[in-house]
Amino acid sequence: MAPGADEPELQRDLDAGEDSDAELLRRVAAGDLDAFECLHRRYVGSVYGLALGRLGDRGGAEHATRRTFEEVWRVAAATAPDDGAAARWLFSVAASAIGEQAGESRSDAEDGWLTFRVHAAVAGLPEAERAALELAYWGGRSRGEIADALGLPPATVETRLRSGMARLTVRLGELR
Amino acid sequence: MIDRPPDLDALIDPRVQGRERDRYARVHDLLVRAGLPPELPEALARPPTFGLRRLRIVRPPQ
Repeated sequence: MAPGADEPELQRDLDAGEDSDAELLRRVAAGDLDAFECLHRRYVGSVYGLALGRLGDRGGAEHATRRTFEEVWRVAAATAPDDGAAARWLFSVAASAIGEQAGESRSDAEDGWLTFRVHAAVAGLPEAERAALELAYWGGRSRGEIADALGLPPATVETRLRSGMARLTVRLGELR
Repeated sequence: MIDRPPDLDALIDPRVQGRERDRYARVHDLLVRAGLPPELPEALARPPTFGLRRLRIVRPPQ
């Protein structure tokens, strides 16, 4: 891991051995159910969060989330982008399903994009990095408290936090 | 729900400075702005699978 490296090198190092969203979507488009499951794991929290924020009820949000993934599977081969804009495409599929659930003819709100993108990027991190970052940011714990919770030395926790944040730097590069 | 946003200095050694720290600070800001994700219902823990194959639309030949 080299968090201080230039970003193209950082991206190459960090992405080695992992499927990008675009690659997963290409495989889903080809009918690969394992890729669909992986994409679901990466995005289900983001889609559900977006739906709950817009609809305000858990049952409706659950239905819209399920509809989103059925639609992803249904139309991926016909309409999914092949230019790396996978997250944006998934967001638009989710926004349509949520708008449909809300009884709207269309949904053009950009509200929720940042949250959607960040939550999906965190969900796509390697488990060790994700666990440390979730405890820090969504559990409110310090480095020492995370070390206690995970049974690791504080230095290892910091290494995981730094590598996770370096990976997020690359994946969330378009957000400001 | 957490009471206050985490302090970057409590997570990353303050002696890490320069471009590297700027990167961490930017991601820190995005994580704080995104906030806590909602708890996922058990029913969404697995992807829908029933009838997926018959739902499929394929791209027409070019």
